[in-house]
Parts: sequence; C-alpha cells; structure tokens
Amino acid sequence: MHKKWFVFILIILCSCTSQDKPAVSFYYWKTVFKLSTIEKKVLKDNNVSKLYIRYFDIDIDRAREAFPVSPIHFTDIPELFTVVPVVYIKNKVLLESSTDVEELAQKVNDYINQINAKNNLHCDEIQIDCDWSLESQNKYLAFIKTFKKISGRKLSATIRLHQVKYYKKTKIPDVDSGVLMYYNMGTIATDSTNSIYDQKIAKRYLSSLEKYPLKLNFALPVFSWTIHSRDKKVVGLRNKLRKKDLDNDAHFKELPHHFYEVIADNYKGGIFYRQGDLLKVEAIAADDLLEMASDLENNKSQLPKEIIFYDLDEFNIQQYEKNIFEKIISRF
Amino acid sequence: MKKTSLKKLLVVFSALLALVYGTIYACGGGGDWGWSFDSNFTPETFVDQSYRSLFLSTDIFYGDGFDNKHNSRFNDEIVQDWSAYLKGVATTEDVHYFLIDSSAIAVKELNTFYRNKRSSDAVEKWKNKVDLKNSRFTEFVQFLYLAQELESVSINNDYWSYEPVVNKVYKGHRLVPALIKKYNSVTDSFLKNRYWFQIVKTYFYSDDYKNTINFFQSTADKTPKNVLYYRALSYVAGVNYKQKQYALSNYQFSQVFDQCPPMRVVTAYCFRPQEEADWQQSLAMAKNNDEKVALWALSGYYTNEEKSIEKIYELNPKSEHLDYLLTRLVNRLELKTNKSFEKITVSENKKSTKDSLTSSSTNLVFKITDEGKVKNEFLWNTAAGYLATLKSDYKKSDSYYKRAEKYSTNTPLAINQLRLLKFVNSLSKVNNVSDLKKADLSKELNWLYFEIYNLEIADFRFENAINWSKTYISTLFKADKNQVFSELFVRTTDFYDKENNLRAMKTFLDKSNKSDFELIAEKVYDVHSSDILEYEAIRAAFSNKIPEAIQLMQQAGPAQNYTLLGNPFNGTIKDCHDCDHIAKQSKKYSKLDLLNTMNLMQDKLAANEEVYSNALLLGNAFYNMSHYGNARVFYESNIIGYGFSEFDFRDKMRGMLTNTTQSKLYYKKALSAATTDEQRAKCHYLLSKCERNDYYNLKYKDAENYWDRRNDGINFLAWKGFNELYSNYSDTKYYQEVITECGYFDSYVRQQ
Repeated sequence: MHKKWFVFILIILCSCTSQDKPAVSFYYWKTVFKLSTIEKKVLKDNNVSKLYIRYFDIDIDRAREAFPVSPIHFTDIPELFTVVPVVYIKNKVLLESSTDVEELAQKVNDYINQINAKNNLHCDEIQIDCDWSLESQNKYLAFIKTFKKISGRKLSATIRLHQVKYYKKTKIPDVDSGVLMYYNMGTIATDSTNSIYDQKIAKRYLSSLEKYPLKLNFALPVFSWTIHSRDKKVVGLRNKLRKKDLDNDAHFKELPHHFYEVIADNYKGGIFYRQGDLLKVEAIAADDLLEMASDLENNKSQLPKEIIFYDLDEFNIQQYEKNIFEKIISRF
Repeated sequence: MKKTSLKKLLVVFSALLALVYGTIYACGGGGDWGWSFDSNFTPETFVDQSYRSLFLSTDIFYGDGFDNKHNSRFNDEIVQDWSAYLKGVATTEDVHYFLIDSSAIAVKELNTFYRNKRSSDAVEKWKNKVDLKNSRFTEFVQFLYLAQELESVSINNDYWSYEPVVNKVYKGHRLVPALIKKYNSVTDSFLKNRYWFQIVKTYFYSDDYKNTINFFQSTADKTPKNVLYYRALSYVAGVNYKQKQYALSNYQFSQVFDQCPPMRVVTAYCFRPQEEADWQQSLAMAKNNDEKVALWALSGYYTNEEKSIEKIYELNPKSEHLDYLLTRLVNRLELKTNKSFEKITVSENKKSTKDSLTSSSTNLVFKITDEGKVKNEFLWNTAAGYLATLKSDYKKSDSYYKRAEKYSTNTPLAINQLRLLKFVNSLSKVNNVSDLKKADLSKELNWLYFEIYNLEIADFRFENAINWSKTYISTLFKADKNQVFSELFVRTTDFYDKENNLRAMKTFLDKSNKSDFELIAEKVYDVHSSDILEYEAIRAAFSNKIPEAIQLMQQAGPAQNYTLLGNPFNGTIKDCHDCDHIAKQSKKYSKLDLLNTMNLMQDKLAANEEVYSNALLLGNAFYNMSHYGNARVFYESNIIGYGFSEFDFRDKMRGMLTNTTQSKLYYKKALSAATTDEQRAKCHYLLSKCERNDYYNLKYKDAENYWDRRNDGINFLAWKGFNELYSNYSDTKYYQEVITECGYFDSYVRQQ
C-alpha cells in the first residue's frame, strides 16, 4: 500500500516539475560579454542555464565579399551556461550573386571555432539568424544545409512570422528547431504604430502557427527603443533613451501617442537633437508580454522547450517586476 | 607577429584611432552616386577637397560612405617627406617600397647588418642599389625597424581572423625606451620630429593614457605644428575621450579639424559631444575666435548648419569653414523641393517648393551674401541665386548670378555650374507656353540635353536639371492641351493607345522645316516615325490585316529585317521557345518574311489550294507571333514594349498579345479540311493549347502581376481537345507523341 502511494506521489511530483513548463533563456546581443550584478541575479532567479550569444554579424564589403562584423569579446566567461552562438546574416549577403555558400559556411564555422577556442568555450548548438526573402531563399536554404554538414552541430534558426504563415512559399530551413521571433512586427517608421509588437498584426499570423511543421521555441521582446525622426524620415534608433529621460529634460515636449518633440537644439547621450525632431518611444509593457504568452499558448502546436527573451541587458530588465519571467512562463 | 600583418607596413604612419571607436568597416559602398539626379548644386565646384567627405551625404560620409583610409591617408605625404630626406641616397620608388610595401623582412635583415655586419639576401640586394653606409639611409632603416614593431596592434585587415580582445594593446615595453633614446639623441630635426610622433603613438597603442598625455604636454612647445603634431594631438584627444573628458577631447579634435585638412573626416567622426553641458564646456575652452569657429565648424557637420554658419559668420566672416556648411545647407534645402508635377501646374509646383524652404535659412544666406564680407563670393552669390530661384524671386536670382560671374573661379565646373543654375532660373520664370516661346531657351536646351555629356566634367550634377526641365516643359504643354509636345518631353505609356495621338505625332515627326525648339523636342524623344510604323504594322498583323501589315512594315526601317529566333510556322506539342530557337532551321524568317509568307498562304487558302496545310501553318504563325509562341521578337518593339511576362505589357497590349482568336480560327479551318485522323488529332491538340491559354488569360485577367494570381491548385483542366484526342484518336501516332511529351495529357489519360 505504502509503495503504491509512493509511486502515485512520485508521478504527481514528476508531472508538476518545471519540465512541464518551458525554460527561460536569454539572447545576449551586446558586443562585449560582461554580466552586471542585476543580469547575474536575473539569470540565477530564473534558473537560466542557456544563453544565446550573438557572436557576430555578416555583411558584405565594398568588394562584395562577406565579412564578420563586430565579433563578440568576452570580459566574463559564461562558464555556468550552455552557450549557443548566434550568427546574424544580413539578407544582402545572400542576395549577392558572388556569395559562395560553401565558402561562407566554412568561414562562419571556422570563425565560431576561433572565438570558442580563444575564449575556452564550447558549444553543441549554433543558431543562424537571417531575414531571408524569396529572392535569397535558395541560397539561404543551401547555406543552412551546407553549414549543418560542416559544423556537425545541432542547428537552429530564427523564424519570422511571415515565414510561418507562408512557409510553403518561403520554405523551411533544414534545422533541428526554430525560434519564432515574436517581435519586430512593423516597420520602423514615423507613424504612431509600435514596430516592436502589435497584437493586431500578430493575430494575422497566429492561426498559422499550429500548421507549421518545424519544432519552435518562442522569442519575446524585453527591449524598448526610441525612434528619432527628422523631416518625416527616421534618422536613428536610440536604444538607451527612455520616457523618463525625456520627461525630465526641458529640451523635449511630450505629445500624444508616445511622441516627443525637440523644442531646442541639444546634445543628449552623445546624440544631437535638432529643434523640430520627433521622438517616438516604443516599449513593451508587462501586460503586452503576458498577452503574447497567452496568444502563443492558445495557438501553438506543441509546448515550446524554451522561451528566449530578447535581450539580456539590465537597462531592459529593470523596466519589469522581478517575477515577470516566471509569470510569462506560467501562461504555457 | 603574423605574416599577413607584416605585409601591411605603414600603420606606423596611420592615424587609426582604434581606442576611440575601433575600425570603421567599409560596408556596402557609398550611397552618393545618385546626387546628380536629385541636385543642381555641386559642392565640388566651390569647396576645398579636404571637406569633400563632409558634403551632404545619404550615407555617413560623402563619396565613400565610410572613412576607409585609416591605413593609407598619409602614404603619399610620408613617401614624399622621406624621399626628400633621402634625396640622392635612395629613389622615391625605393623609399615607397620600404614604407608602403612588404619590406619588414628586408628592414629586419638590414638592421641586423648594421648591428653585427651579418650579410643576408636583403643586404646583397640593397647594397647594389643604395649606399648602405650612408648615415641617412642607416637612420631610415633604424627608424623603420622600431616603427614597424607597432603594426601588430595598429592594423588588422584580415576579416576572418578573430582577435579575442576589443582593441589590441602593444605590450613590447622595450620599444618606448628605444624610441626615447633616439628622440633625445638625434639632432636632425626631421628625425627628431618623427621619433616624437612615434613615441606618442606607441604610448597610445600601449594603452598608456597617462604617458600619452604627459609626453605630449611636456614636448608640444618644442615641436613644430605640422601634420605629425596634429596627428599626435588626435591621439591625445582619443585618450581624453576614452577617459570621458569629452569637452576637452572635442575641443582638441576641433583644433585638428581646423589645422590639419587631411584629418577632417577623422575628426568629424570622432567629435562627439555627449551632453549639452560638455559642448558648452568645449566652447568655453576656446581661447580665441578662431578656436570657437573651429568648434562651430565641426559641430555644424552633425547638427545644424544654419546655426553654425550664423555663429561662424559673427566670429570670422572670412572663415573657409563657412563654405562647406553652406553647400550642406543648400543641398539639404533643395532636397525639400517638390519634384512632382503630377496633376499640378508649374505655378503650383513652384509655390509648394517656395513654401517648403525655411525663411530663416534663406534669409541668412541672402543677408551674408549681401554684406559681401565672405571670402568665397562666388559660392555665396551662386548659392543665394539658387535659393532665390527656389523662393520664386527670379530677378533677385539674376542679380546674384551676375555678381557670381564676376567672382567665378572659371574652372569648367564653375562655368557650367553657373550656366546650369542660370538656366534653371530662366525656365522657372516661364509660366505658360507663350512665355516659353518668348524665352527662347533653345541654345541652353541644346547645351543641357546634348552637349553636356561630351564635356565630361567630374562630379558635375546636371541630370536633375535635365529631368526637371523636361517635366516642366511637358507640364506647360499639357496645360496648353498640346498632347504631342507634352509627350515629346515626357513619354507616357499609353499615348499610342489613342488613335488621334498617333496621327498627330506622325504629322509632327514627318513635318519638314522644324524650328530649333521642335528639333530639340524631336531629338529628346526616343520614338521615331519608323517605330510608329512598326507599331502599326504589328497591330495590323494581330488584326489579321496582313497586306496592310506588310505595307507598313516595309516602311519601318531596320526592324523589318530583324530575324525571328525560331521557325514561326512550327506547331509543337510543348511551348518550349528555347527548344524551337536552337532547333535546326533551314530558313530563317525576318519580321517581314513572316508577313510575306503568311500573305502567300492566305492567297492559297483563298484559292482553296492545300487548305489543311496552309490553314494549319497560318494557325501556327498567329500562335507563334503571340505571347505564347516562339516569335516574340515579332512584337517586341519600342512602342509595344519588351518583357518576359505578359504583365510587363500595358493592359491594352497584353490583351492583343495574348489573344488566341486568329490561331483558333485557322486551326478550326485546318480541322475542317483535314483528311486523316493524324491531321485531325493534331488540330484538336493545337486547339487545346489555345483553350488552355484562354483559360489562364481569363483567370488572371484582373491580376496586377504574377504574384497576384490566385493559387487554386488547378494546373490544367480536361480541355476539349484532350477529350477529343482521348476519345477518338487514341490509335494515332500523334496521340502517342502527345502522351510522351505532354505530362498533363498523360495525367488526364491516366485518370480516365
């Protein structure tokens, strides 16, 4: 009798453990890896074991040759974490007719190995991030195939919403799993929409999620930025500019719909703001994150293994209550 | 040290401020190639070359997009300096080799030779070329030996080689004492100056901020204020930036900007006030008006040209820095002008341009120009004239241009720049066709449209004036309801879809004794009489008016002889144009040959001769001359257009090119006259191809383009011809051929 109860309790316990909930992971997108006290605490509090670290971007130079941009440097070594290098490939690299995917795959793999070797790191998985288009699709798919073969590691890729909905046209990269980027839904524009997240836009794609054949984890935004425009043209994204910074500065006047107007020329945070410039603050509130989690939960085909937050930066994290990540995960 | 970096030897002399911002990679290429299409105002006309990168750009820096001369900016100057020092000892070519090319091994071996007399390949090679014992050459080698050691940290051009640190730091501590020893011991001022610079640079790349500043400060007074001095000062400014001494750093960069023209682009990149307060502090550091001017001049690049111009002018109206800021201001203002004449008159267009310009900017330019205190009167009067044009004050513009002419530098660019702006003013005065006639701009139009290309003046922005003036003139004629002249200056896609237009244009083009203006209009228009005749001929052919088509095509010039790529009388199972084009053709048909042969066949058909064959061949000819056939060359022409997809053609043309009426008509005639099942089978199949084409035409009738089509999953239907072939002609040889070649028919048969 006792034995039976024990087994029963064990089953109950097992089914209640965190394995039923997705794990919390983070993207690390800065060019120097160094964790602040706050960042370390967030990782610890949320039992984070995996970090997706942007290793480098790939762009093309004047001679139309692919080259790595701003590779990561490690001031801290992320010993306690499973590291997944992320490589962001600009679509124009693949649109360039002279790009040889085999050569590129070899170079990318070698470069990741150099970074790992010189920093005593090891990885079992690599993630490729690319907003490929119909024009670059064949090259991208060929790159993924070759890269998988060359790297011999588990491979994941970021997937945009439109790639989920139109997967028959855009095709599915030959990877072990995908990460649905549930942000950057609109264009960075001077109008009043939020380019990071808009539930109305998201809903156009959500229903396609359950039909998508690739296993997906979800990436959610925990960042904000301010769009700086002049003469109705976007002149820059200001990552470290907050509403409260603008509220406390007499050079800026608040307008409706999260806009601010520059009322006198001034320098702020190394940037010049000209009188008449407009600033649009785009941020993601905790309620937005919970809404995303519920919408994804209601439309997913299978439980994601991880929810990856973009990105780990104390500047971003401090905007939220301490238990936000736990609350989001509990929606799944 | 890696071999790759050994090859890049001149970092010693480069001004890479790696500690400040790291390497700025050259990405993508500059986006400034298109200025000629957006601007009438060429800054190169007026401003010194050292400001070039700072002209208004659609990228970070004008021209190249990014600053990409980190390792080469001073190459020429250094070779020149050392060549002068080594005059009579080594040739410029040899000096160039040691300074710029892969000389590290040679330098090392020569240096060893000086120390212990040990010979080597380099010694053997160079002893025949230069006097190795010459003291100047010895000094040169010793300097290079010390200088090249720093390169391992100051250069990295190998993209795919990862460095585990953000900035490489020089760690060979023995270098500084050696340099200081030389600096203190050499008496030659040239060498002393170079060792001085090398010491600052080495401290900088060794991350030794304290000594970079201390050494510089303790020796600056004794050092000549030459390029090396300002390069060293920029290292000091970089160190101050790194130590968050932004006000001081920016102040120092402004001094370099002011005094060292080759460094202007570098300082423009590095100058970065963080907060309003540190910018004000920088201003407070300025010891005199010139230093204040330098700060405003540099800040004007990133901030507000108008304000900087105003401030600089107050401080020193003769400052050269005003010039580049003015060109930026003018280029920025002209981007706001209304370039569209769609559905508006020229007067409305000019009013919207006038309203778009901020009066404070234009008034400032007028005021400064009127006061006549600036150094570059040519620039200011030209700019004021142009802005007056944009403000619709044409008389004012004329008077500024008159003064500008007086001060012109008279370079080809200056002469033509002013001429272009004067033309823009003259045409802007015109409000209707009768004004245009009075203005008599023929000479200027001839120059702008035809002669200007032969002048080959580098940097000259003239394309915008060409396009603007054509649209302007076209709009005048449109308002005057003169469709022909409106079309001559701006071609519209559907002009020839209206019969009246076609007739009127033919009358104009055929007219003899054209006026100068009419001749220009004819010359800028890219449709000729022969194009219209060819168009009429093709239209007649598609309407099955073959004799008329022949008569028109015969007048259509060389187009009548264009050779078709495949045999237009073949009727194939598959519509494979490439296959038809590479197939052996005993006779090649020109456009005219096709029509003539069709005419012969039609005559025979009318006389009931070989009805089946002639009707079938005529059906094939109409099929092949359509969008679906192998003879698209027949219709591809100036007025109809060119394109792979039917959606590349305007609606009216698409309707004509995809119409299968004529081919069906003749295939049906052939079917009626057929005497064998083989013949009937063929006619049924060829008719099914037409039926298929009609189905898709209808399906995509309203689609805007290929991507707009509905994907209903239907690849083919059971065409009537398939049904006939399957039901009644399955025992024919042709049936078997179709089964082999046409997968759809094969699928259809399998489903029965």
